[in-house]
Amino acid sequence: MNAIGFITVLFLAFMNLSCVTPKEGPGYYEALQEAASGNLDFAFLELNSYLRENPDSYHAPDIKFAVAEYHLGVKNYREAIDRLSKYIIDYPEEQNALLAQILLYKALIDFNPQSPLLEKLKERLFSKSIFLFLSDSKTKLYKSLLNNKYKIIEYVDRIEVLKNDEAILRIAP
Amino acid sequence: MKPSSGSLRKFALPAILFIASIAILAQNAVSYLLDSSRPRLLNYLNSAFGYTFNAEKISFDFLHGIGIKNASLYTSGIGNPDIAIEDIFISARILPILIRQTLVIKADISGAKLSVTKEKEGLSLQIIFSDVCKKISEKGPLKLPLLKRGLDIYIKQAELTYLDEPSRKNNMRLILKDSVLRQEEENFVFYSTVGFNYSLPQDSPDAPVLFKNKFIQQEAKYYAQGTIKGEDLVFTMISLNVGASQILGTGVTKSFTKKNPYLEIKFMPSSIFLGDILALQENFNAQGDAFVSVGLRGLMDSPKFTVNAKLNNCNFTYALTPPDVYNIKNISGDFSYADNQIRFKNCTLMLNNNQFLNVGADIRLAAECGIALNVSVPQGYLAQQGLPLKKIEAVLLGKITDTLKGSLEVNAVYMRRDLNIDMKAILKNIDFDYRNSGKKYFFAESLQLIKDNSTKVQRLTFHDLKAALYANKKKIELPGLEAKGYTGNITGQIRIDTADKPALRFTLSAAGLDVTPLMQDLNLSDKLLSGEMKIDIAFDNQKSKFLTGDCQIKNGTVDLDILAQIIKLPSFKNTSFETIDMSFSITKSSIGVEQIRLRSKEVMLDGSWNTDGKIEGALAIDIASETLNQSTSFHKLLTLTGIKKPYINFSFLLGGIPKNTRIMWLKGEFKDRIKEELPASIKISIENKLDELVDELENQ
Repeated sequence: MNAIGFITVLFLAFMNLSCVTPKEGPGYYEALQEAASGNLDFAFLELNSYLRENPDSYHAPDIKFAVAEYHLGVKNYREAIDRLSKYIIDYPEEQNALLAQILLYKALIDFNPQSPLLEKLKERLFSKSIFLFLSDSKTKLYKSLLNNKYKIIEYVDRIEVLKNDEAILRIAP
Repeated sequence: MKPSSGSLRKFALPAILFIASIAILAQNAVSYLLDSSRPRLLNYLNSAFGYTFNAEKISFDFLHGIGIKNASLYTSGIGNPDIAIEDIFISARILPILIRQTLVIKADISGAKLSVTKEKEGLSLQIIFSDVCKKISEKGPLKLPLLKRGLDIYIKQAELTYLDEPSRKNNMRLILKDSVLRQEEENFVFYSTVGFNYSLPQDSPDAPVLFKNKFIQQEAKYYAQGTIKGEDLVFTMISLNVGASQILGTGVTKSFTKKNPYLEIKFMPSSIFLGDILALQENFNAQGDAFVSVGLRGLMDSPKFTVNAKLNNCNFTYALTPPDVYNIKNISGDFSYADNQIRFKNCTLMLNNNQFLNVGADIRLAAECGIALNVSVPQGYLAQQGLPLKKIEAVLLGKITDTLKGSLEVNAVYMRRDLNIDMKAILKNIDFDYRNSGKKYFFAESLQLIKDNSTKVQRLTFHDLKAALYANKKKIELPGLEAKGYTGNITGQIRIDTADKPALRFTLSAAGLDVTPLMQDLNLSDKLLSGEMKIDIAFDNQKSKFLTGDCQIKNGTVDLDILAQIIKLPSFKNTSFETIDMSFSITKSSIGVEQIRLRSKEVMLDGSWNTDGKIEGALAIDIASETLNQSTSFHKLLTLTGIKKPYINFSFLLGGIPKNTRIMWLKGEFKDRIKEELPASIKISIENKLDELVDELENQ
């Protein structure tokens, strides 16, 4: 009986193991690992490839954001602006939507400071009234798939953005 | 045997003398016979035609034929004659009898004066002509076997005066010089130098101020040829030469022997130089060309005159307020006159170097001259002058008597920060004393100002507006402006400079204004509920801060609903105050409140801010502790912090953008104590609730 029970348990365990398929296909976790290791180029390639094969993936919005973020990081501004603009239109309610607008602002400032889009974006970024009661600012934190940590700090008269604790942008109305 | 030349000479002289004597005797005898027959002749004419004929003398000489001195015709028998001729000589021309078998009666007339009045049946002279023609046709025309009939009338000078009803004072004269009328059977030719003189009525209060010479005169060379077809006089060609300009036409006088025949004359479209029209040249220094067509149609005593013209780069000069002269240049557009109405349509012009387009005017000429005038200024011109306006247009509807009465509407589109704002000013029941050369008076029963930026409509309404007005070429000034509105009185002055860059400056002071209806109309804020306002504002479009003002509101109520929601004290929704003082200014890009102070028993507020694309400002509010203690939550906070002061201070920094304000509570005793005393979780809870409240207020 003990042997039968042991074999049954082993059989069931192998069955379970064989039935367990990962939620994401090959590439997604590899990409995350690459990003964690600092290999952003490989992370980008993996994520791109994954997205192509799994366009309806649950992580598609985060992946699209990361792809846009990568283009910005390598100063591929046209691609970054295009993708970030599309992201804001497609996912206005996503957690990353505010960050996407900020990164789009940064891309435009660097690439085309005369762009008329900048004023419109600024209006959107300051479109919420804020009451700073006991603190001097409100902070929002984001972490992207490429392992970048963003801090968005809203003051009464400006918005400051830090990426991995380094100031990258300051926007005043 | 031939008579010798000596003997011939001997007989010739006596023969000539004899013949001459016989001729002179015969001439004198005929003269005597004719003159002695004058009374019988005149009686015959009187009874034949029913008019009173008169002649001082009838004579005869072989050179001139029958001469009549001081001939006259009276229709009424009393007063001035209808027709008076100083000298008339009638003879028969021999040559046409021999060459064309035509008996031509020649008449030489000099010093003719004719008076025309409008009678019930028609014009008096035409009635006389019609009667004469009728009487002659009853008796039968003179039948000349083998001979055709002709007439050759030469008029050295004739003056025709039209006596206007009902005053019957002279006001229109036609002078014919060196006029010739030739008629042979049905064909006729007439030509003359015609002078026209019309006196503008002077003693009437309605006399217009346009014409400095107070009369209109014009000379033209007139030529007409035509035929008599049945009862109609057909003009196959009419030519009118006015200066160097010529216009050609045709026409017909239907039933021309009737008392009131029908005229139909049409001149073909022709180019006329306006300087050739004396009235325009003398009064307005008119230059330029107009392509004109003229028509005359109707019964002889009341024909309708129509003119249609296309003006091409015409210029006029007018001294409306001497010595200043207004130059109206480059006028192009359509002009028409018919039925006592002058119309300008689709005109463009420059007035004292300012350009106007889409100018239209309808002016009805009558005892009271009705006028509809619309004018707009092109955007290109406005931009050139540096004005932030996309459009200005004005429409005046009224009538001109001794004053201008009517309504005026001015519409403009003001460009402010990429927004197009519609602005409108409507003045109703205007009475403007335009005639005075110096100080003029201006009154309007109401003035409404409306501003519409498509999301919000704001208006102001005033009544009983009055001002003195001074206008010349360079400026328009209204000092001593007074008006009433919102239970208050408004005084001020306005000045518009048009010399170089257009400039508008005004200062206004108002007192005793009821804030409630004022705020409803102004649609600025629904927070100010009541009070009495006093305000001084100054506007100068050439300054960067083009509008500045100081305002004081006394003894009113204000809705401090944000405070009411934060502190949970409904009583703040209707807070009474003693005074609110505010200084403000507006530039092209910002609205600034330099200072705002509110003083009431419960709340004292001091603040200032600027909205130049972003908000920058500060606000300090002192709230009475007694009031704060009425709020349960604040009572607890005050107890927790242990602050016992009559007023608790709250200071804030303002930021963000005009549509979405950011407020930061600055450090102070109360804030510092709260930060020390409150646990972190409560602080977070309060922050979250405030964020929700702010969202809620935004969505409202």
